[in-house]
Amino acid sequence: MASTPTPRFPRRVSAVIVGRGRVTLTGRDFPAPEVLAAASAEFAQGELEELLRKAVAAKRITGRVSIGLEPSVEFFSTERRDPMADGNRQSMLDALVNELGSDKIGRELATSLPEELFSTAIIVPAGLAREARRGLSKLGAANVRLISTTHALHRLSSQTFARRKNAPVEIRILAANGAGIAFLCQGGEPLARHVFEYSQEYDFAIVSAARRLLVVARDSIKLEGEPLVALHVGEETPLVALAMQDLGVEVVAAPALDLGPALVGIALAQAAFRRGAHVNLLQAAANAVGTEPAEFPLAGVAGVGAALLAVALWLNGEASALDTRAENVDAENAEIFERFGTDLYELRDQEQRHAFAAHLLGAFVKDRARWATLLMELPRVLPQEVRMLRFEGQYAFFFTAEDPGAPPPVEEIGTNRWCELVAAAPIAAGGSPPQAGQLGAALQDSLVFQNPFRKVEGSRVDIITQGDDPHAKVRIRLLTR
Amino acid sequence: MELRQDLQGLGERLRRLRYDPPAFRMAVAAVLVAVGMAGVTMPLGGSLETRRAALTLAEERARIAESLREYLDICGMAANRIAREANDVEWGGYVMEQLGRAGLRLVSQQPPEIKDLGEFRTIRFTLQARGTYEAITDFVDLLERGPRLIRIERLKVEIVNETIEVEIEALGLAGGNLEAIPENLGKEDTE
Repeated sequence: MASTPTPRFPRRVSAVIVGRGRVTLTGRDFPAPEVLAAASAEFAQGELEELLRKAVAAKRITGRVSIGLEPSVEFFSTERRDPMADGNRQSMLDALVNELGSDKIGRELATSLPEELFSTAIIVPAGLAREARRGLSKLGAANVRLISTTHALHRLSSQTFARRKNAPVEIRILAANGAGIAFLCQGGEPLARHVFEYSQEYDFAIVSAARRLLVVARDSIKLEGEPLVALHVGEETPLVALAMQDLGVEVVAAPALDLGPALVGIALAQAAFRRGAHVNLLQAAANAVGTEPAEFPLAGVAGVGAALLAVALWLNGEASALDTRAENVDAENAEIFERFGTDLYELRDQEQRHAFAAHLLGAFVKDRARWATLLMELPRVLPQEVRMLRFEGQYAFFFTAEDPGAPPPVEEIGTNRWCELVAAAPIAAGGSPPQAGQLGAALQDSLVFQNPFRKVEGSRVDIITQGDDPHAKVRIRLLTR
Repeated sequence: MELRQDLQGLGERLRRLRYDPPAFRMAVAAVLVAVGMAGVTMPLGGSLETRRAALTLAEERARIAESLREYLDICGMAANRIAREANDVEWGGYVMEQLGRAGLRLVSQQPPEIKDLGEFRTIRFTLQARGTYEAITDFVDLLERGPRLIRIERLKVEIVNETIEVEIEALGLAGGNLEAIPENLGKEDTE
């Protein structure tokens, strides 16, 4: 077996391994991985972020950092789809996320398996990933990557022991210090992974892990081709023969990899910032982090809330102004409302009643002739020698109950509103009778007669010569218009 | 049980919504619009409409009050002279009283003719009297300016055989339901 170089940290790249209740800082500058533990078994909310912030502030973490989750925290598997099932890729991922519990983010990964039949997904706790990224945010987003620890370890394994082209299906197993991880791969891409622990039965644990993934390969995924099992144990040991005998497939020894925080850190640091076969995985992992819960748009909500408040205040102000106007309008007419109440129907009824009364009284009182005044005026306007024989007149009352405000009918005024004066004027010997027009003018000039009778309709003069007193009988008729 | 499952499903959908920023922002916007509509625009807009309606009502009341004030003013000028009763005997007595005060002698009188006019009643009476020109003028003046609202519809003053006769057709106004109109109608405005 060709010797392979011992894995080492790349320059200026360190790694942070995040577990449920601890975070391990590794890197070239760390003589040994440094563990920062949570106060309890699991990180409380914000605790991981705070620990990492402090580590950054204390310059314990600098440069570029690769973040990975402990393998036991990460879920990675390939499942066979049911082509008859009503669903799609996303729904399968959702089902896995739901199965694993809340606050998880996942990403499906492309493999050489047909995607209509298989789904390969990696799922990590969203909270840990989010807090790890935030805790290292001061280093700059470009200097921090979150990648799949499973894929980083598999990549490291592949670097130390290249896959055989004639063995499309591989099982690789790393185990040390009581913990192990086994990969099931096809075409160099991981399809499934098994994390296990052991105490003393090292051989048994490794063979069990290999058998488990073989079952997955044969029964669940139904991979074709004879699998090759590579054990990272360094040299041909009895374990290799034992495994080959037990599993019934070819088992080979691969360079030993001392699985532990240092190796995981190296794997993460090497994989995070390199382009190549794992770029999609890295991108997928990065994207997975990118789907952290959306920030609540506090500024926008505050702005809209302020706008709503302003609208509410404005509307409230408008409402108050309307109230005030209504109160003022009512106050201006308080004496009427005290007398008649404020009920609109009652007020309209009273309005109708009083309108009728007002029109009736207006017609009755205002639109009339003051006959007493006319009688008083008459002797004043008559010349001394002229005697009144008869004064007669009519001023009819016009009012229609159905239309109280209607003016008097024009055609009836002429026959119903008039006055007539019949007077006798002496005729002097040899003299001429007085002109009816002069008497009519005298009446017309009188301010008293002008209202209401302002128009002389006609006049007539009869000369009476019979008897002892020859005189002229003057008749004048006045109309209102 | 189903409700619990529904709530769990809803909770899960909401949780997933947070991982879809555009949809989350749309949801927040929709919630804001809903809050704006349901919490501000609709209740306060409704309140505004109610108040506008109240103002419209107050303005209509004010218009009626203004009309009423005008009508009361008109009514107030004559209200105290509108007789409450429209009794023919009583009205005949009133006319005879004025006739006596003026110093006229009654020649003939026809019974008053009473007609309804809405809530009012008109009393039409015709009489013939004899006297001096001054007494006739006084009588007419007493009718027109007296304590009762009377208008002369027709008047005829004629010298017959050295005496003066007057024939009058007059119209009095009485209100059967004038109690509703206060006695101080329109006084506030006239004072």
